[in-house]
Amino acid sequence: MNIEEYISSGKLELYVLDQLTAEEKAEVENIARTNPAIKKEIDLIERSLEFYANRFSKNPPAHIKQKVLSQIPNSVGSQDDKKSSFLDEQQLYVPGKKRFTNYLVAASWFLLIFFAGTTMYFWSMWRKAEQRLVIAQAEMAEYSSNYNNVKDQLEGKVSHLQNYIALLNDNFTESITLSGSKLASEARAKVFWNRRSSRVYIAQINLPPAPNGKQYQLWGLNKGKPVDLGVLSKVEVDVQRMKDISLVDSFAITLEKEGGSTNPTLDALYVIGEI
Amino acid sequence: MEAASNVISEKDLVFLLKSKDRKAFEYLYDNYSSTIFGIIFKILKAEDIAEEVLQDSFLRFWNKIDDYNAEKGRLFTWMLNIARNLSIDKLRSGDYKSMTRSEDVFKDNSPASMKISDNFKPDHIGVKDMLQILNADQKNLLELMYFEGYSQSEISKEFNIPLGTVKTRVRAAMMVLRKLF
Repeated sequence: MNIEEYISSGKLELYVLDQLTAEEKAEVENIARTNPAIKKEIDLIERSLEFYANRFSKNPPAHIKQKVLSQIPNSVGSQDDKKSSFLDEQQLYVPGKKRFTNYLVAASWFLLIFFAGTTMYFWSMWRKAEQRLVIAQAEMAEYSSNYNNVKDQLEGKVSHLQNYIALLNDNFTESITLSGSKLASEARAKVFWNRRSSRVYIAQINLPPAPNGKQYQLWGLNKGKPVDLGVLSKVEVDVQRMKDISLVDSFAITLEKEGGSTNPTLDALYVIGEI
Repeated sequence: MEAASNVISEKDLVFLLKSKDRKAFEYLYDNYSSTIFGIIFKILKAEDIAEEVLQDSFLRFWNKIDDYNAEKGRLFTWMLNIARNLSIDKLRSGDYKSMTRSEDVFKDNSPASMKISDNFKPDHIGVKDMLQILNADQKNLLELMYFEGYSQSEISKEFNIPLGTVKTRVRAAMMVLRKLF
């Protein structure tokens, strides 16, 4: 039997349109059972028919539905009402046959949903934990950095103070009091100079606050010649180490532009003192 | 048909119906009653009788579901044929003939009236245009065969068309429809 020919004969259309005799129908069904191509062709014809039939669709009056439903029994055999529909319970439950399979299917759906749900929940928790970890790590890094800064600062300060104390205790350290000039009669400062190490420290600074853009500068005077010993810290400190000087007669502080000058502005001399 | 397949597969629906699941049957009614009613009405052309046949059809769907075998075709085709057969039986029965003037029914299908317009009053906009694609002969042939209950031999005799030609024309008509969807 040639499949192409059979299909073109129109027999399959007649089969779907229910125009064949019982024998002819059986023949078609037999052939369809063993021929997927034939079965497929029949399926396509059927779909065309449905499509065609749909065009004539007409809503029946609403009350008919109830009439129809009332004609079928509420319960069949040994089944109760409660088990009447899967559509109510939203699962593939069928009373009677294949109960085990149904339970299996229902159980597997439940498990799937359950696991999907818990997976989502745990994933969400994990994400939050991840984020918190990232934040914590950033904070830790910050603390660590801060701690190190502070530690360094303290160590610096301790060492600085230790040096200062050592200098004070040293026999070769001179203590020079710088007194205020006409500009600021109350101004004071103390300079400690060690003639052996040449180190200079300034302490007990009592000067009017330097205006913006200006900064105090310490000078060492050697036979009248000024030597820059550095600018004073704008931040208030107890003691500040200045530049070393080996030969010096007196010390003076002037108010210069910020950062200091190469030569002192004598008009802006605030304190001065001799060894 | 689209509504049905979106929610529940035909395979599952059939399974439930065979298990006498009442809700599945209600689902069947909700999704298929309009189309079935449409066909019945097209054949019978009278509301009251069509409603009666609709009820009978659905009752038969419920009672005879075990006769349905998926191997033989789709559920809808099976339902359609049941409804159609009930309708044509009614058409030819004493009840119907006494209620309508039967002569008019057959007169409408004489060769003289084989034209595009009259017989066919589509319920939907666009259907008419769409079905213009079927030529007059093809359309009337389908209608005669499917909705009027003429067998192929009746058509062949009535309209003097060779039997083979009837068959091939039917196939041709169905092929055209297939292109449309």
